[in-house]
Amino acid sequence: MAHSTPFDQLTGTLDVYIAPVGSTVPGVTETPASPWVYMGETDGEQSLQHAGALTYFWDNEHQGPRKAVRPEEDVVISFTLVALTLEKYARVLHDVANVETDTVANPDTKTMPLQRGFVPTGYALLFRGEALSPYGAWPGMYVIPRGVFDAEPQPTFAKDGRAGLECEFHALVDANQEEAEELGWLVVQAAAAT
Amino acid sequence: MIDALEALIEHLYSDADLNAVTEGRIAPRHKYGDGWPIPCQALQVQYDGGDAESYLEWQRPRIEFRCYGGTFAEASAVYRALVAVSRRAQRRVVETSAGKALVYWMNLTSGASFLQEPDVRDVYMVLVYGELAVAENACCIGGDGS
Repeated sequence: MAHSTPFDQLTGTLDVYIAPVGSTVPGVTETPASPWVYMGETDGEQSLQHAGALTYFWDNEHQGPRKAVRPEEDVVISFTLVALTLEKYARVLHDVANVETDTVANPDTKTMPLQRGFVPTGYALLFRGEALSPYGAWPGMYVIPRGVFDAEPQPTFAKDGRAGLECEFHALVDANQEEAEELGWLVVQAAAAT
Repeated sequence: MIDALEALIEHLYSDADLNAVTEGRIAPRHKYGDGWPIPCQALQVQYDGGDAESYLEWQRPRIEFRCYGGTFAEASAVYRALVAVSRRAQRRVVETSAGKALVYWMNLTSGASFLQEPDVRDVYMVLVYGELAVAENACCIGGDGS
């Protein structure tokens, strides 16, 4: 007796795309196009955390808890970006518009400020796999309609290593979505296209 | 039950670059003197131990790859095409004699070693090891939905 079916065991890495909050979410079978921006190569695994511990309530008549609620909830996506163009770096730190192509004499230079600022830039994020569906070798994606880049990345430059920007994308409530989907949703292709 | 090695060979066959450089000579045992010209570019894949899976129906063998060629440069070309296949990050469905097989991944786990094939003079090889994960059960549908 099989305990599992081949497809419901998911393997493979996911691609990260971001866009301004409010951008139209592409269909799950479509490769995201502008304004969605592919964030580039990541080092190792990407992960998604469903955070939010339960608070339990006890009464005086029972030893075990009587009720549990989840007063706070978070969705956090983590990955380490190794494609460190200034444009990608800036999207994580603050805003790609902050990258300046300097008008100096040959050769061209680009400058990116390091200060991240008081208010982080909000983005929508897709966390997409070409074979993320547990029903077949079909695509699937997590959609986070609104969120910000958190974390305190510390790219380390070394002779025997590779600098990487640790990214933590923290979902924020998007009041424009359906109530159950305010923190995002997962959509996968579930049957063959006919 | 799916033959993991057969699924791997089908997976390798389906890569156009690897197929082109080896001219389809990908087999669990080299055929020098039995159909393959000496020397020529080819790839031999064999089981080589690995981890057993206690619970889930998937096979995770270690694989020994021998990338052959008439020179080290030719053998290296086969190795480079093999590296390209190992970069694939998504699951794939391939056809085997026991049905549709789901190849979860194939990764290389060692660097390359230059050696000479002991069986056949004039054939050089790059030896490299890898790991494979393949579902034991046949899939009901293919990657193309068929």
